[in-house]
Formats: sequence, structure tokens, C-alpha cells
Amino acid sequence: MPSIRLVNVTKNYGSITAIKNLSLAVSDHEYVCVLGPTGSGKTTLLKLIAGIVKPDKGEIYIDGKLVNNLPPQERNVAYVPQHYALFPHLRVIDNVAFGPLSRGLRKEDAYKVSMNMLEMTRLSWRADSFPHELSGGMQQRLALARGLASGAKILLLDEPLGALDARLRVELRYKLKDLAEKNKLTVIHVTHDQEEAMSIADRIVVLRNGEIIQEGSPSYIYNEPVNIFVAHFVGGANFFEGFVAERDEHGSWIQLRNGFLLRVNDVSRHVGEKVVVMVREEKTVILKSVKRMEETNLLPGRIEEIRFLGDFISHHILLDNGDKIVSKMPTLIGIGRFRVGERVYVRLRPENLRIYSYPPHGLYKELEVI
Amino acid sequence: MTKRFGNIIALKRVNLEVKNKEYLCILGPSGCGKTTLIKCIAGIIEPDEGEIYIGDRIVNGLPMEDRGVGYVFQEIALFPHMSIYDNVSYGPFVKGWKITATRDLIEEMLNMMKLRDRAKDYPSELSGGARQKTAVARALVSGSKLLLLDEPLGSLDAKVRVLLRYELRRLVKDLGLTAIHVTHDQEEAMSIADRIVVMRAGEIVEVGSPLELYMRPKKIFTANFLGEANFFAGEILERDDHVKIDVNGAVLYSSNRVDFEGRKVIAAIRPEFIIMRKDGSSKEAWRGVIERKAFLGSLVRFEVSADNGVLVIVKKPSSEATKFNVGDNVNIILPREYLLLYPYPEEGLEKAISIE
Amino acid sequence: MREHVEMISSLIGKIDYLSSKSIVKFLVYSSSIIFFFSLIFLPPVIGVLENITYINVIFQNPSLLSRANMAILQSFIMAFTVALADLVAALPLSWFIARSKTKAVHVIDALVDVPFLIPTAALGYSALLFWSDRGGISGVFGLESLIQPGFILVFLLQFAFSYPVIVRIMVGELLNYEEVYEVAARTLGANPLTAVRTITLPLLKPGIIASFLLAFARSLSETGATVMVAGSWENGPVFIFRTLDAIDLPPYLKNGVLVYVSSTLMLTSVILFFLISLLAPKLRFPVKFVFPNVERKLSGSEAVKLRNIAAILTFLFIVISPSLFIALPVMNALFDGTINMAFASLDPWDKFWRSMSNSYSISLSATLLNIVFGLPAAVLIARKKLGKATPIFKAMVNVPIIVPSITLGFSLRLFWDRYGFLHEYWILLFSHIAITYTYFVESMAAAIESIPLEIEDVASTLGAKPFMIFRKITLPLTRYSAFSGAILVFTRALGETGAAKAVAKTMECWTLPILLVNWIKSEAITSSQKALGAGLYIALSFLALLALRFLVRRSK
Repeated sequence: MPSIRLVNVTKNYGSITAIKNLSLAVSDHEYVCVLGPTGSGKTTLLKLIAGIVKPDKGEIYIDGKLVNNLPPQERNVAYVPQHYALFPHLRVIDNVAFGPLSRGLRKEDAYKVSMNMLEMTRLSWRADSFPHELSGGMQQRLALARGLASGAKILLLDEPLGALDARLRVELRYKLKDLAEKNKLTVIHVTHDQEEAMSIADRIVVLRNGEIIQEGSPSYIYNEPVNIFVAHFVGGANFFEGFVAERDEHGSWIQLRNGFLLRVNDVSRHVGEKVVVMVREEKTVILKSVKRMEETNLLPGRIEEIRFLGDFISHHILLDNGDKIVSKMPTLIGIGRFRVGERVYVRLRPENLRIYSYPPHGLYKELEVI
Repeated sequence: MTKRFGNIIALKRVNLEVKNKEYLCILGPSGCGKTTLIKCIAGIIEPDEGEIYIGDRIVNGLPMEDRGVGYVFQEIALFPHMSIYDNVSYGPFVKGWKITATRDLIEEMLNMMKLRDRAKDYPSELSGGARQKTAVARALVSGSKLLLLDEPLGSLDAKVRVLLRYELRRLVKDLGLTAIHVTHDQEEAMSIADRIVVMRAGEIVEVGSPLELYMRPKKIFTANFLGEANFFAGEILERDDHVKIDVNGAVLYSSNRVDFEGRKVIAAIRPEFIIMRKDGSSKEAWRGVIERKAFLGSLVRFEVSADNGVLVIVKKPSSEATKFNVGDNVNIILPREYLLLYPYPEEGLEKAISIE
Repeated sequence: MREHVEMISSLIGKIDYLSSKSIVKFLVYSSSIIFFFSLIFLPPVIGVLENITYINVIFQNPSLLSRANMAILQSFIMAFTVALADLVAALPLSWFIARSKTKAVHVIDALVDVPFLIPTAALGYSALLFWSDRGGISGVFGLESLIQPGFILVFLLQFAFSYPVIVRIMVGELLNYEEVYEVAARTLGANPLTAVRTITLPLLKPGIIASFLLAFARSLSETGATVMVAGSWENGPVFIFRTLDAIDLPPYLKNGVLVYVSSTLMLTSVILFFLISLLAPKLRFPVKFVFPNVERKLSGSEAVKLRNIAAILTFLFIVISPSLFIALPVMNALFDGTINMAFASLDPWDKFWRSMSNSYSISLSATLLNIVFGLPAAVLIARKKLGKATPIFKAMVNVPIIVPSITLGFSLRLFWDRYGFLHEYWILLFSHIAITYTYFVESMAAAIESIPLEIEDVASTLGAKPFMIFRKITLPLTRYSAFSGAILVFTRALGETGAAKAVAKTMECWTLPILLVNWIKSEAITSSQKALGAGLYIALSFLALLALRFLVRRSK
């Protein structure tokens, strides 16, 4: 039986629809990441499940029970808001004991449970400190300990790592997953960081403007993004505008800018239809020279920039037809291999190319960055 | 240079040289003193000890309005009650420059930053990225040759951050400026810096180019801070051309020199340099079992539990990772040239690499 | 003992449980709203409207009418002048306190609060003695009286007692202010003075406007001290005060002119207030001009020192000395036997003590009732529980402190005389509640608003019911504001003259400030007795304040 179920839920704030007819089911012990840009409705989603706001339409079930009219204090869900909202006037131990005490446990029992929780999150040595005396990472652990002290098995996290330094974020994300697995929790973890989501989620739900665009395993979302927005949001992608020049039973030919042709395996579009071709940055190959010039999907160009990214090196190439492409390769392979200004060929295998319909508002708008 | 705040020593006898026209990043965790450092250079804070030179001039005691340094704040700090145009022209305005001369200068700067058609708008009407660009324009329009940036991209969304950082570097290089850019994001620093200064707890740990610091960090803290790394505690068995190390009963070789005394050592290697195979065990390979597999997009991250009880993190490009799954028995080889060696830290490994 | 503790905790538990029921929440909030409207807002409005016809009589009496109009005009002229002068004079001192690192700051900071601690009636007497009496500064110049009672003396008095208010607000604003804007301006090449003028001051506009409005309202409203130093000059409250005592006016005429002046003052002050609040934010500071060389010189440490010294001297001579001057005659009175008479309750001291106990009991009760009924209202405003109606409610809650308190008291009297058959004491209590309610509600609302909503949200997901959240989270985090608000209410009630004068017809019900004002104008009371009376008034309110502060500290 699913732990959490939302059925056709809608939530409006005045004239703005934060959540639009959304349905979602989360199974027991599942670690779900809700991924989306700011303003996509992620926080509202968590607040609906926690009971802090009520849906305008639709039903919410927790462990099979309809909870629409159940106030937050009776839902036994651990909610950790974006900046933790620690009680500044209470010591660490009192913060954690707040939940058990509120639920009616006797003082001795409440504090015993709290100490256990602090030991589990390695904070027991700071039990008497105040929240503002703790570092960012410790505050985060305190927020978790407090949420779980009442024995809740459902954990709702709103950008739990957002307030932390970049490097710390990477370290702590795996510890979060460990915590969830060890305690057999069902987790909904909201974030705008797609790398974070992909590295720890069992399932990713991509949210945009209050609607679920796609959901599935990280590799599914990454390799088979359902539209341009998802493709762009979850990782480095190159996009080319073009139209279908020819189609046969095995694939199609897409004509890009200035006559360049690309062979793709898609047969679902009509000739003449305007499309967008997508290829992941690491699914491109750069060659210095070519033996056979007739080979298809081999685009000539010049390297404009080389960027060092640590475990990867990316090459920014201006193709001869005017399009730009970014090619990513592991550092060990790419280091010192090419120079800025060098003429190269970029190979794009048809199986790595995906086709999308040209978006009605234009490609730039769809990619919606600045 | 030394700076104290009450009992806390924010900067501990820091020595630094910034080259002309260099794009320097100061990288470190929160509280390491990096912001204090550039505030001292700008004159917002005065150091307790030490001297600061800009060019040939010693600037200690010189008020901030006279240092001629452009500063971009973490909070962006655009004047909310002034339009974009007025914000950008504030520098020349308060210095009493003639209006006619400045007008051209400002137009040019606004054009360069693509803010021309937002000139009459107010900061609250702009997106985060546009506000950031305005702050940079404002800092540069008076013609400063030195630009100080305090976590300039921190408040922006991930995708905007990536786009803007390259624009920043391009601008600095086009104008021939010297930039000191403070950040906690190692990816940001590595992708745009000529050199990186790694700081921790008020001290400079190491200085070098991004490539140097990533491939051959001289300190363990640097190794861990710039990206994920495996750290193995072990004992040196032999020191010849190649060093032989014992880690929990298994053996490793490194072709890197050991120029420190003692037998206790930390061997470090980046996850993506490790070779993982299903077959072909060799003398140097460790055997292990894949415990966890995480798909990261272009990479897949494996946690392998080696036979000697050590956990090894391995990263492979996604295209090569499909045949490996949780539960598989594998051979992992740690190539000698990439296995770096460090003296075992007094305070213990965890404290030595800890970011907080 | 243990039983009591258990009983209390189970009672609290029951309240916790009840608090989650919507009907209970509804009852609590509505009772608070009903309290406000039925006791504070509606009675004065109704009282005035019902008696509005009385106004007609004065149109037949042109001399009285013109005198009344002049008084009303003078109210606003004085208020504007004082507020502006205070703003200009208090800013440099606020800057000094907020930014300076010298040790002198602590001394000055403590001194700023002195005029707050002295009830205005006593302040008025002190100022009168200082400026007007031969024993004061006049004697130094060899004059009988340096400044006679009149416009200038009133100006000096009101300047002095509004000065600390502005300093406190501006210091708070400066300390909260994000210095990064000023620093940004300076890194761009602006010298400190230019940076402050072009960046900081415009950004502090809300605080500056709020200070102005507060000083403005105080000047409009203050009665006791002003009456003492007005001489032949009159503003609204002085006019009303004198008319209430006037024996040469027939009742219908008296009533008529009182209703006229009250209603006009109330209406005009409300309109003016809202106009200023709406229009002032649109005023722009002069930021289009720079004077780099001049302003650089003025930013230099010499100029700054000069400015600070000037500000401190102004503060010491125009604000502190006149306020503390009363200490001298009080000392005299202590050693010339008057004090023995006082403690023996010999006439007129018996009436003194009675007024004092009136003042105390009314102030205490007003404070308690305001806390009980003001808290829910504060929550309503801070958490915007009335939706779109919240700003309207908030504006209404602010009205009682915008209108001069004497007019509020008078209109309350009109209402209760007609509708309630209440003893004068109760009307007195209601009037004190009305003029202090706003202070507590605004103070608490601001404090509650500063608690992020997320904290209360999380607490409820952890299992806490609304009342539990209130007592375990909201109250502890706003405790300081709650006590400051309570202290503010108490001292304001203790110091109120105008409203009390308008309500209290019988001498039995006189509060202490009314008695003091009467004493000071009376020839029958010796100057020693006057001084001692004022001195005891100050001492006892000081003690009450200390007691409250002590309670605050203990509970921490």
C-alpha cells in the first residue's frame, strides 16, 4: 500500500495556481526527489502533505487514510523546512524533545528518546548548546533529529542541503540517504539541484508550474527526457533547431542550420516539421581527423573554449554551420589533447540523438534561464 | 596580515601575492576568512598586523573611498531607491566627474552588460542574474583595475550561476583587469580561475592552478575540498622507485615520491582514475563487491567494498558503467601514477579533511 | 504543592486541547475584537456624533469661535514645529549613539531615557522652574524670568520630551540598518557624509517618518505639562482644559465649544496623519547633487567631533537639564519638614495619596486588561488572520493614539454619561485603556511578525496544539517586547493628564497628574509642597518601573 497518495490535488493562492491537478503515489521506504526550478510548487507540495495548507481540490492519503481534514499535529509526519526553523530559544536537546513532549510522552521518556536520536545523528555532545552555536551541517542534523524523534516514518525535506557550502552538500547527501535506509523511512526530498536528486533518489519527480512533467528512475529521466525542459534541467544538453528533410522506414534526416544534415532513428515526425535535436554533452566524440569524409553525423567545427571542470573537461565548439556544441569528456582522456582554435570533427551517433517538436514559444523561452 | 575579532583569529599571518591581470579565486569553507581577506584589501576592515600593497602603494589606513578598488558584495547591495542607471553611475557621480564625460562611459558599460533597456528600471524589478550584472557594472564603471568579488554568484539558481561565471571571466579578461573572486564552490573556482588559493581557518593551505590542485594537490585538505577523493590509511613497506604500502592487509603501489619521514601514510586517489574490471585480476588489483550504484548523469558512482574491508568509491562514465551492478564481484586497480601520498595527519584523517 | 502543579498542568493540557477547536479560536479572537470596538473605538465616535448638534451654539458666539479656531490652529503649528526641530536635532545624537565606539556612548545612552522616566506633568513643572523661575537659569542671567510661559516655553518643553522618543527610534533603525549599502557607496568613492546623505538617509525614510509622526502626535496630545507652561498661549488641549474649569461660561455654551474643538481636533488629526503617512514616503531626498570637496571636509574627524559635541551639548542643556532641574527643589523640600507632613497625610497630602492610589490602581488594571485583550488582537494583525481587512483593522487600532487624549477622554465621557450608569472610576479606567491599548498591540504585533511562520508550522507538525505553540514558542520569543509593551502602557497610563481631566469631575476620582497640575497653578500650595509632590510622583513611578523590570529579569 502506498505510504503517501495525492489524487487530483489542486492548490491556489489567490489567482496563482501553485499545484495543478496533481496525482502522485509514494511507496513505503521509497526515497523520492521532487526536482524543479524555483516557483514550481515544490514547497507547497510538502506543505500539503504535512497539513500546513489545505488543498482546494483533491484528496491526500497517508498510509491509506484520508487526511484532508486532519490537522498537522495528528499526521505524524516529520517536516523539515528550508532553513530548518530550529527553535532558537531552546537547547539542542529541548528542540528534539519538543515533539515527544507535545505528543504526550512523560518527561523522562521524552528525553530518553531524544538522547537516542542525538546519538544517532552524532550530536549528543552538543546537547546543551543552542542552535545558533552549531555549524550549518550540525544544524541540519538537528533539524532531522527533531523531526524524527516522535517516531515518524515519513520525512519531508525542503531543500535540506541548500544552505550549506557546495562541498558539504556533496558529502552530506549520501549521509541523508544512509539515514533514510537505516531507519526505513519514506522520504520526499525537494530540491532544485539535479545532481543531488540523481545521486540519491530511487525515483525523481520533475515538477514545473505545479504539474508533474515526468517521473521515473534517475537514469530513465536522464536518458529518456520527455521534453526539452526536462532534458535541459537534469543535465548538460545540446539543442539544435532544424526540420525533417526526409523520412524512411528506419529513421529520418534532419536538416540543421545552413544545410548540415543529421541522421536520427526517429520515424514519428512528418517531413517538413520543425524539430529540435538533443544530444547529451558526454555522448559526443571529438576527432582530430577523419578517414572517410562520406561518414554521416560528422560535423566540422573549431574549438572556441576549453573548460576544466575537475573530473571532466568540456570543449566548446563552433560548428561550421553556425551552431554551437559542447562536448564533455573525462579529464584523463581530454587533458592536453586539443587546443583552442584547433579544427575538429564532432561525431554524433544516431542512437544518442533525441527529437522533440519545436516548442510553440520558441526554443530560448523553453530553456528559460536568465 | 593578521586580523582578530575578539578571541577569534580570522586571518593568521596570511601572505599572498596576486599577479597583474590575473583571475584569482580564493576558495574555502564558510568561516575560513576569505571574505575578511578581501575586505581588508578593499579597506572595509583594517588588519591588526601586516601590510597591504596595491601596486607599489602601501594602503594600510587609506580610507576605502580612496583605494580605487571595485567591490561586488555577496548581498549584491544595489541601492534600492535608485534606478539601474543611477546605480551604475553612482561612482563617477560622487567623485564629481563631469556629467557629459560619464554619460558615454555608462552607456558603454550598460551595453557591454546588455542592460541598456533596463536602465530606467529599479533593482526590485530585475532578475537575480541581471542584478548581479548591474553590481559588476557599477563596480567597474569608475575605471578600477582591481575587482574584488565576494561570493558574487551565491544567491543565484544553479543554471544562472554557471552561465554568469564565464561571462564574468570573459569581462575581466577583455578589460584587462585583475580579479580576486571569493567562493566556497570548488567547481566555480576550477572553471574560471587562473590560480586558486585554498583557505581554511584563517590560513592559506595551498596555491596553484586548477589543474595542479585537482590532479596533484600537496595537502590532504585540498585533495578533499576540490572534489571527491578516496583516502586510505596505511603503512609504508618499501621506499624504492615505487613506494609499496600496506592498507588493511592489501597492497598498493605509488610512483609518487615520499619526501616525509615516518611509516604512517595516507594514500589518496580520485574515484574517476580507478580502473574497475570484472575480469583480469592482477597482482596489484584488489577484489571487491559493488555495494551501491548511483547514476549521476554523465557518470555513475560506485561504492565498492574491497576484500580488505576498505570502502572504495569508483566513478565511471555512464556508457561504460552499464555492465556493472550491485552485487557484482570486481577487480579494482589503483594506477600508481595517480595514487598520491601524504603524511598521516596528527589530528587524524577526519579532522584533517573536515570542511566544517 | 504537588497537587497544585498537577492541577495546573492538566488545566493547561485542557486549554491546549480546546485551542485546536475552531469554535474556541473564533471565540477568543472575536472577544478581543469586541473588546476593542465596544470599549475603545466606538464609544468616542458615538459620543461625539450624538452631541454634534451642540456645535451650532458657538457659531453665534464669534469671539469664542475665533478663540477656539486659533487654539486648533496653534495645535498643528506647534506640532509641526516641534516634530521638525526634534528630528533635525535628534539625528546627530542618534548617529553618535549608534555608531560611536567611545565609552561616553554608554553614559549618553542611559541619559536619553531620563525624560521617559519622568511623568510629563512633573517634567512640565521642572521645565517651568528651570526656564521661568528666578531659581532656575533665569537667575544666572540676573533676570526675573528668562522665558515667560507662552509659545517658546511650550516649544522648549515639547522639544525636550519628544527628543528621547526620536533618538530611541532612530538608534534602533540605525542598528538594524544594513550597513552594506553605505559601505558599497564608499567603495565606489563616496566620502562618509555623501554616502549617508545619498544612500543611508533615503533608506531610513520609514524610520524618519515614523519618528516625525510620533513626535507630532505627542505634541498634539500632551496636556498636563503644556498647561503649566502655556501662559496665555493656547492649543487644543490647553483650551479644553481651561474650558472644563471655566466658571464664566453657561453649560450649553461650554458643552458646545468643547464638542466643537474635540471633534475638529479628532477629525483633523486623523486626516492629517493618514495624509502624511501616504504622502511622506513619496518625498524624495535631495540626492541629485554632490559636493565632493565640502562633504569630504565635513566627514573628517575634526568636523565629526564638533558635530557630536554640539549634539551632546544641545541634549544636555535643552533636554536633560530642564528635566532634571526639579531635583533641586525636591532636595530642599526633603529637608524643610514638608516631607513629614506628607507622610503624616496632613492636608493637603491626604488628597495627594488618594490620587496616587487612584493612578496606580487604574494604571495597573489598564495594563492587565490591555494584555489580556490585546494579545489576540496582536496575533490577528501579525498573522493577517483577517485577510484583506487586516490593514483596515490595524489602522483603526492606531487611531486612539493619533487623536489628542483629552478629546478621547471627553468623547468617552459624553458616551458613558448618556448610555452607562457607571461610576466615574470605570469611565476613567476605560479612557486609560483606550489611550494605551495601541502601544501594547503594536509592540506585540511587531514582535510576533518577526517570528518566521515556518517555526510555528514546524511546531504544529511536531504535534503541538495552537495554545501550546503560543506558550512554548511565540511567547518566549516575544517576551522582551511583551514586557516592554506592558511597561510602556503602565507608564503612559500613569502619566496621562488630558483624558483623566476630561473624565474626572469629582475630586475623589482625580488621578495624580490632575492633582499636581492643580497644585502648581494654585496659590494655596507652597512651592515646597509643589516640589515634593512632583518629586514623590517621579520617585514612585520610578519605583514601579524598577519593580516591573525586576520581574522581567527574574522570569528570564
